[in-house]
Amino acid sequence: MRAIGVFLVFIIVLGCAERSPKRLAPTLGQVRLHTEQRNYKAGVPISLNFLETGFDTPLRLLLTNTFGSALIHGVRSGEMVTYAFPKNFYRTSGRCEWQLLYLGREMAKGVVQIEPSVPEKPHLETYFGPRSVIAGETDFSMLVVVPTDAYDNPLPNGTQTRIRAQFQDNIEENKVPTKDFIAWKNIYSKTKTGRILVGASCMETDSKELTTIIHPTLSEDFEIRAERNHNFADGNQIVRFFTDQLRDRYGNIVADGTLVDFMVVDSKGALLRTIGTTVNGMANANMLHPSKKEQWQITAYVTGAAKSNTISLSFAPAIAHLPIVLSEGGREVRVGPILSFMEQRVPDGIEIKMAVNTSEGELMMERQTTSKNGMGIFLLEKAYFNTGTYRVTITAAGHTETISIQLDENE
Amino acid sequence: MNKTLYRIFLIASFLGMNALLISGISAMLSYLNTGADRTSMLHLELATEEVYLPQLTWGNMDNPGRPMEKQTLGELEKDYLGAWHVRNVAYEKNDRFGIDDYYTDSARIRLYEQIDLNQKNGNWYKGTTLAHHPELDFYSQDGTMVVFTDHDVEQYKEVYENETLLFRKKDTATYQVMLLLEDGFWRIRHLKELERNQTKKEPIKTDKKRFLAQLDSIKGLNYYPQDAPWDTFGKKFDSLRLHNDFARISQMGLNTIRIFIQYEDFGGAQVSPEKIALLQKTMDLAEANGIKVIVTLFDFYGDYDVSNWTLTQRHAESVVLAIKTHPALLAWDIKNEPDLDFNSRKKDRVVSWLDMMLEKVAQWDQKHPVTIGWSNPEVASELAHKVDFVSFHYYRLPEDFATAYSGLRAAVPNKKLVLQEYGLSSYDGIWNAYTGSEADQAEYYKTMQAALREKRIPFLFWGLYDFKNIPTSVVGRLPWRKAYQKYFGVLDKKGRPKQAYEHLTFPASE
Repeated sequence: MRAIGVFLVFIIVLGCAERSPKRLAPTLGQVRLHTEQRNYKAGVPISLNFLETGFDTPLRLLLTNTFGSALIHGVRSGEMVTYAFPKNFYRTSGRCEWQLLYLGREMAKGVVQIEPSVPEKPHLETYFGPRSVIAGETDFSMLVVVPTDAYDNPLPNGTQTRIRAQFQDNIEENKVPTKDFIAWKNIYSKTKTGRILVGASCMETDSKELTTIIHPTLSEDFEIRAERNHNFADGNQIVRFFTDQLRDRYGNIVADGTLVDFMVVDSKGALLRTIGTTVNGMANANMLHPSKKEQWQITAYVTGAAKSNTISLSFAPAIAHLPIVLSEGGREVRVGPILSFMEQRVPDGIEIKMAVNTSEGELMMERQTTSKNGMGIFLLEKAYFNTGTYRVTITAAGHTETISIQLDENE
Repeated sequence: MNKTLYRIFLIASFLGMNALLISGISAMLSYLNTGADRTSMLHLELATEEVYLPQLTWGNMDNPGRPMEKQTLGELEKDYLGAWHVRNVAYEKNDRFGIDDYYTDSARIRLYEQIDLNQKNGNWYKGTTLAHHPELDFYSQDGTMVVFTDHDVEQYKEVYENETLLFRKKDTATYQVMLLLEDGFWRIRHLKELERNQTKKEPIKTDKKRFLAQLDSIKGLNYYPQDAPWDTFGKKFDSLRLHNDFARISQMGLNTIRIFIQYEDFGGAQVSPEKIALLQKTMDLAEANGIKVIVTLFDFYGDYDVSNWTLTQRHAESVVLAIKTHPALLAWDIKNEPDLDFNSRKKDRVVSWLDMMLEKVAQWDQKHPVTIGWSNPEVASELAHKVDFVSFHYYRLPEDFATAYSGLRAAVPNKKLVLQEYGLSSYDGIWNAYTGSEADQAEYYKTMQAALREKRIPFLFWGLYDFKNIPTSVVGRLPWRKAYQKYFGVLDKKGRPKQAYEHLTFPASE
């Protein structure tokens, strides 16, 4: 009989040691955890049963998981007290610590481990970015897959996911296990432009389709050409510059809207600039003919990336000479009719300049007008120009004529 | 006559009604015209006050995704700590405020469920985290997702049921966290506590023997400059005066002073470098005069609330790290007379704070002993197992000292005891009906010193000088308390020795 008693005590002690409820104040009453299960699946209701004897006020169970704590009351039936976990505690995976408190004293404590419920159809969150890459083999987008169970618990490390990427005729599939909540894969760019479609699946759940666009990389050097109606410097017609099709080093046509800068260097070294943007890899830009004899060197640039060959254009003078007619008294100077390369009157708008110097060579006045109907007219008003001799210089279309004018009193 | 009055009343009330109506309409219109400023989209306007500053040290930054940028790390850290802070506040108040700024849609539901449950049950929790040691696991290529493991998060939590504190919980946990960058905020998406490995934490090795041995020979006083009582490091800081005072203290045969560092004066959580420089200067001057210093922290601090723990830690950390290697430093005193706050702040709250702070100071400085300046011998056994030596104050009758001392000795048999404050005012005036005198003070010290010599008790008496002004924050506004406080010195207002002086000078041989 005594042996049985000792044995029973031994069993109880052993039982307590295994279940590790720590008794801090055994004199207050007796507590023993009756529930043996330690590991649970998320979503399955959990309740802990304790054998409680000798307490005058009810105990509380303090639960603590990652997200916070709660104090719960038990339901007594005889010596057994049942503490049911609230929904948000048995649905959250991870460690859940419990402490049984009697008036603020810890009477027992322990931990239950809640595993994510691994369903056949987990939830799958996918994060994909950046959503555009540059052609070549170095740039990449990254697909991150986060599988969770129905209660939003991340699935354990080592959960297999499949990540698929499609480009043209090729579909790649990779098996990636999760680690630190996530499975991820870098989706590298290709040498051809286009779209890469990606998707992932985990068990029986498939993600939505995600896209990254492969944009062409930087343009290679290119060729330009020019077109014009005639080669006369009439200041009226337009020269058009064209590029050939701009491509990157993998032969992809550069992105529409690529800016092409056409730089013109004229015979004095001055820079003229005009811009075009590409459509289907080709850009064009316009420039007005010069109004006097010129030699142009033209080069086009895609800033920071590529340049073209240099072409050369020469313009022949369109106007042979400047006829100047003076009125009686010399106060009206009529320039013209200015005739162009076919003896036709020049188009309206040719710039004509007049400079008036005294006979001593002192500059008195400069004026400017444009041709109308092939003519330009200047007046030398009485108010400004007294009677006397002046030297008048007329400049237009690369020609300069100087005449001497005698102004009379009476005109 | 009546008719006129009636008319005046009618017109006045008509005008008044109109004025009210117009002002009401205009207030409504101007309200409708106000709206969110567009810049608010950028979160530029948030003038953040530092409210949560646990120790945070980043570990390994290597990860397979993308190198971490310094800028991003700063933002991440701020938002991550913000997430802990709003969570602490939310569980304390059972209020959802701020949660949506720091947790994603799916994660915040868990917190809301928690809050609703606790509100229903009438529970609330005061909590804080004291140290974080995150290591980066993953940073995505597009810079919008981060996973890291926060190792050994030191947590403290108080569990309340309605108004009563039920339980305190202090532990260390490791979390794995996923954050997503959403409209400019890093928000927590997943949070998971990892398995605990109990063995990881090593106890701190302390070596305090050398300074503990020096305690036995303490002969000292509590020091404030005469023209700046309770304001040693204020505007009137004068290093020449300190130097002269220290030289005088040294001449008296004393070897130790106790000085006070005020929490707010030193800048609270963000300790001002100027104040640290003044403190260092003071320590240098003490060193030059062969005087050791007991530094009392957190003077005039009286909150102790859990939400302030991280802030007070940063304060103490800055001060301790700044002067812990100074040769003049003898010991740290966490707080002067914290037991006086037991009534107004609750004993539990004060003691938990002291307990936490003792541990932290011991972490930062492993050489200098740490104590608490209790206001009387009876309360001084509180936390005696935690302090390196016990300090107590004694302002009662000298005849009762021996009994009080042996009571404390019995309660704390194996720690050194230091009488950290004692003294008597020589005030003799209307407020005490002319009952005090310098002679009484001298008599007091004569008796006390005899008792201290006999039992070989290290002592620091209260007061070098009589003060001209006592700040109201010290003893309140009441003139009889202020007047009494002015005359604790052994040198009078003009710096002449009072009668007690002879009992407080010690030949070098003693």
